[in-house]
Amino acid sequence: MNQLLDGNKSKKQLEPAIWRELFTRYILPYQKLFLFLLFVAGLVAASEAGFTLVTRHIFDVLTSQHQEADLWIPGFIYLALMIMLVIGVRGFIYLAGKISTRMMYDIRNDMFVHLQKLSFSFYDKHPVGWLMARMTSDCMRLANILAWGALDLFWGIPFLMGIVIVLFVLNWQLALIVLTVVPVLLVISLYFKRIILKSARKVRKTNSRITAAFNEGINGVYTSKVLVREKQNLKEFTVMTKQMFDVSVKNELQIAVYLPLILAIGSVATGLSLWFGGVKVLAGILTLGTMVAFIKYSSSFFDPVLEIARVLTELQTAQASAERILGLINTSPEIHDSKAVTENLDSESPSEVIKNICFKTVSFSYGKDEKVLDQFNLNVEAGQTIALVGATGGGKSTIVNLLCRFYEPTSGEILINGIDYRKRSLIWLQSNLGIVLQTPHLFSGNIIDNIRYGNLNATEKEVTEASNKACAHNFINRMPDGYHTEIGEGGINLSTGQKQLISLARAMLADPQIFIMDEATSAVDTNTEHLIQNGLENILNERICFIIAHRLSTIRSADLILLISDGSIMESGTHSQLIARSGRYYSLYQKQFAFDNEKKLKQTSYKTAG
Amino acid sequence: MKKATYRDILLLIKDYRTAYIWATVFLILSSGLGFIVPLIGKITIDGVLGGNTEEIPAIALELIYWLGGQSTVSQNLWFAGIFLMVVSSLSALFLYLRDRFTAKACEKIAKNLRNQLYDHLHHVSCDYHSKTQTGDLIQRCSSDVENVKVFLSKQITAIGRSIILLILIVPLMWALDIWLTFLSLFLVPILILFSIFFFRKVKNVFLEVEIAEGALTTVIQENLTGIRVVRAFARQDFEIEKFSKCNETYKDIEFRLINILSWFWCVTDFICIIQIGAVLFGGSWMVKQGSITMGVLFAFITYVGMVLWPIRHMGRILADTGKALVAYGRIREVIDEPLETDSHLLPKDFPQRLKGTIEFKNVSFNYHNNQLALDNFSCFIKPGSTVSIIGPTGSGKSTLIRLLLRLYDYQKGSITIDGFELNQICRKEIRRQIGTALQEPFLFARTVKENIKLSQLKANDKAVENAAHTACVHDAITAFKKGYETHIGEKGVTLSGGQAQRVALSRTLLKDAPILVLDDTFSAVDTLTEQKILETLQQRFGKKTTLIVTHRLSCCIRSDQILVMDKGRVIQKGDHQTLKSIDGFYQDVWNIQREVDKEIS
Repeated sequence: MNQLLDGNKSKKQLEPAIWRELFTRYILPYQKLFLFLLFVAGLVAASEAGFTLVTRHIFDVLTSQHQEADLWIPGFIYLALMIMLVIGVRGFIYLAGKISTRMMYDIRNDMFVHLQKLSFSFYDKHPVGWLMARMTSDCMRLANILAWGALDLFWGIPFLMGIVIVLFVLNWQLALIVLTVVPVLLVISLYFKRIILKSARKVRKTNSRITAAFNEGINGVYTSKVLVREKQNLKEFTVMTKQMFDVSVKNELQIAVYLPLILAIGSVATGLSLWFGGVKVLAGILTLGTMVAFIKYSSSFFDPVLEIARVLTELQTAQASAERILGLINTSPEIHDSKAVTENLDSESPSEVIKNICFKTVSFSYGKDEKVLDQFNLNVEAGQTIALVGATGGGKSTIVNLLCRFYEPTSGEILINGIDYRKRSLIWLQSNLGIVLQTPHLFSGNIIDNIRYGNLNATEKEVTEASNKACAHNFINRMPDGYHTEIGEGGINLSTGQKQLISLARAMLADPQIFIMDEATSAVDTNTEHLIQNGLENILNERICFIIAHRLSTIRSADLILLISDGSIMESGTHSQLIARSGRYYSLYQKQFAFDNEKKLKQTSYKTAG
Repeated sequence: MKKATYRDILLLIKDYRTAYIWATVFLILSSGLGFIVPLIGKITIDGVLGGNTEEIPAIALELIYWLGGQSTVSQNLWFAGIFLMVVSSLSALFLYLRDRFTAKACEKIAKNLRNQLYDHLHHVSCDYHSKTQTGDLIQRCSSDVENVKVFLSKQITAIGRSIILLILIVPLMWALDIWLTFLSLFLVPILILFSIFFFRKVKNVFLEVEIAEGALTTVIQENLTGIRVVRAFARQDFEIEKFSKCNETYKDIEFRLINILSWFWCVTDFICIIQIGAVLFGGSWMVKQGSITMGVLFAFITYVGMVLWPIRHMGRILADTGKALVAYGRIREVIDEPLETDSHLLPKDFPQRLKGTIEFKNVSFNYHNNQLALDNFSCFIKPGSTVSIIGPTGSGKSTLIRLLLRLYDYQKGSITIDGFELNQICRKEIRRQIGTALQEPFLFARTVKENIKLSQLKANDKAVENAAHTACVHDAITAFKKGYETHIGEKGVTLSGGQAQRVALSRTLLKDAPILVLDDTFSAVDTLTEQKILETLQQRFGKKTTLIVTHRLSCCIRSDQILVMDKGRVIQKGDHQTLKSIDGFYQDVWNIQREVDKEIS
């Protein structure tokens, strides 16, 4: 997995296994189009090589027949070649475009579908930014090399081969002399492409550091001003821009050397053609037309050589992308339905009522680190509300994560109605869940669609009912377009409190058998929270509810409060029982009061302020 | 949005004129030499192989005679070959020199732009920062600068090259043959117009592709960040369907673009090949008629190829220059934003270290809207005293602090420190005299130690640790694996809100300024720790003028003076003992607190 993350270092060697897999997965489905593309590429290469032969013929007839020279036949051939080339170019780009866009579509789809299956342990190890880069830039790079790279390669190779064959047929001795340049061109091109790629990578890296510095500079501008850091900041920043200057000039100079160098080497071939060709013409071994053809070919073969060199170097970076993409697609999800479950999917009754959930000596650790949960036992009956309290990192969220089967216990088992939940399907459990998180996640779109996420078939009336229960109806109605107000990407047009209420409404609409609220109303004011509490009580009848909260009013009404610390239950009981005990809950409660009080203070003062 | 003109953007080059002049000189040399290459071929074909000395220009003839006459040259054809290689290589060398000059100049321009933007953003008013979005600013500083650089390095030179090619080639061709010149160039205007027209039309499709890509990225991003919600509602299939739709749209629009582009390539290919064909066949016919030689035909065929291909790209480049104009317009918007006005002179007898008397007299202030954030606010703070400011959100507490730090300038009334009028003192000097811990602490992506040392670069480790001790964060820091060397931010640990506040406080304390301002610095720190910090502060620093903005009564109890603020005014003033016994806001709050205490016991 680590290698997957470090995949940036491209390996020197090309690995056929990777390309074979890519080929069978993504190119084989477009076999016919691909073969057609190859054919058209050959056509284009042939017609391009053909033009020079027409020129040669004209020069020859002009020298040998003078006034009698017939220009009609070469004229028609020229026209035919032109039509062939124009149609070829059009078909060529059309086909490559078709294949590349479809391939990109396929690769992205495969990745996305697979990402929907991967477990949370995978997401823990791979930040969203990293995954985004795989889905966008890697994908693009791979599809580009697979279609456009192939296009260049399949145009370049036949073109080059065509030139070589024609030259040998025309005069093999001269061909041997002139073509000595080709391997030199290829070697130099490969060398330069490689170092240019390397320095370009350095430029990108430095550039992203500069962007990060801008980000920090802008976000921290108040701090910088207050600490009078302006000069020092600029001094540190100029070090970075100086470095950027150095690496980009290096990169650009490499490019600036490369092209002229190729041109100069190419001219050697032209010079050789003129020299040895001229000698042969004088000796009468070679026609003038053939010499002209040699000169023209010698100036046109560095085009395909450049393209081939480019594709070959890009193949290496693309390989790194391919490795990462295949690595992702081939990662098997740690949590998945067992074979037995998949086979019996039909016999599962979706409407099974959850009467009881039981944690039996459940232990859990993320990775190889110390245990987060240790021999945890808990029995919950339908209708009960369980509040989990305790310090961060104590294991509260882990309990919820295990319950949702986002993770599975390392040892022990979790039983639902007496059956280990691993013997049930994931989809069954998860469609019975309703979760409201502290940082509510909304999708761009309008409000009603976001609430409907809980139940895609809900009527408008059901949506309004749910948001009424979540105390969201009023503020939604006050929005410019009511329920059809666009909320902007990530809900930027809403406050956190409003987002929390919408995600609560969403969960209520889902009407789940297990309700989980993780600090769900932390940004909602006390009054509204009280109203929500009342609304919830009706809903929570007959259901199981887990609450993680800091706010006391939320916790107090729970049927059972568990104080979780270091992965096990330290204290448990109802609010009054725990207060009476004067233990850790009691002191936590006291501490918590300070914070609650502060919030209350802010709000009361608001009211007095008017 | 203001769009820059070509003139604006060319002004950037002004300081680099010499480099650009050299680049142009080398460009002309390189193109000129490039055009000689086909002439060598022509002379060889006509003069040496064809024995047609009339067609050889005088200079070349003299050269041939100097070398030993025509027959010697015929027997030593290597000379023509080598000459061709040398001329080509020189042309290539000049091409390199051109790129070298432009590359260095452009990178320097980009570097200076970046530095200028960075520094400028540090010196514009806070007001500007509160109005702008970080993402937008960053885009201006990164990709917009990049666009301008590409314009200056690649686009200008490409356009210049095409122009110079045409300027050089026309007289050269003209000298060889007028009719063939016409046959070589008559389609060039059509080629240029077509490509300009084409890319202007296609611009919208490029935009559509960008939009479709953006939509796709949003769907992926939202899905990945909200993966818990997706799983919790078992909406995988729904998400896949949503994604597939966007993916499909993107695929289709991208294919449409490629399809349109394929028309561009095949039409321009068509035009170019007709042009070349015209030269080839028209020229051949002329050879047949005897009006030109084979060598001339050879030269023309080569020239046409040299001119047509670069010109074909012009439309694309011209279409792209629009981007650079927009980008530079956006950069100018930032740079043209006026800097904070500042008095660089200090009043006479301004001390090295202030005593810390602060007086606000009838100060009023508003942020753009008509609501006064501070309304005729007055108060006097004795040196060495501790003042707590309390009041609901939006009552003007933070505004007060911002005015004191000259982050914003007061509009009416007067603020004095030790009797000096605040707006007469240079902003940086005021901030040097005031140690501030802001409401939302900003930590830089560096080590903990470096973060604390931001305020005092030369502080030694001992002083850093002392400051951290006072801020009660030393233990938390040493609990990290790397202690003070722990990296904060993306690559390192994430500090909890309370820890971040205390690290920021250590930074402020390290500075040891005569005035200390704590703007809700303890909001994420529990009451016990807060009390401990305040106690140590008083012991260690004794008489420092301290302003504390807070929501907690516990903070107020130990201060000399409490200001209760509301709607930009002071509504109650006094110490804890007095205020709690007077009917009013403070007493209300005090009562709530007491009720809570009762409930616990």
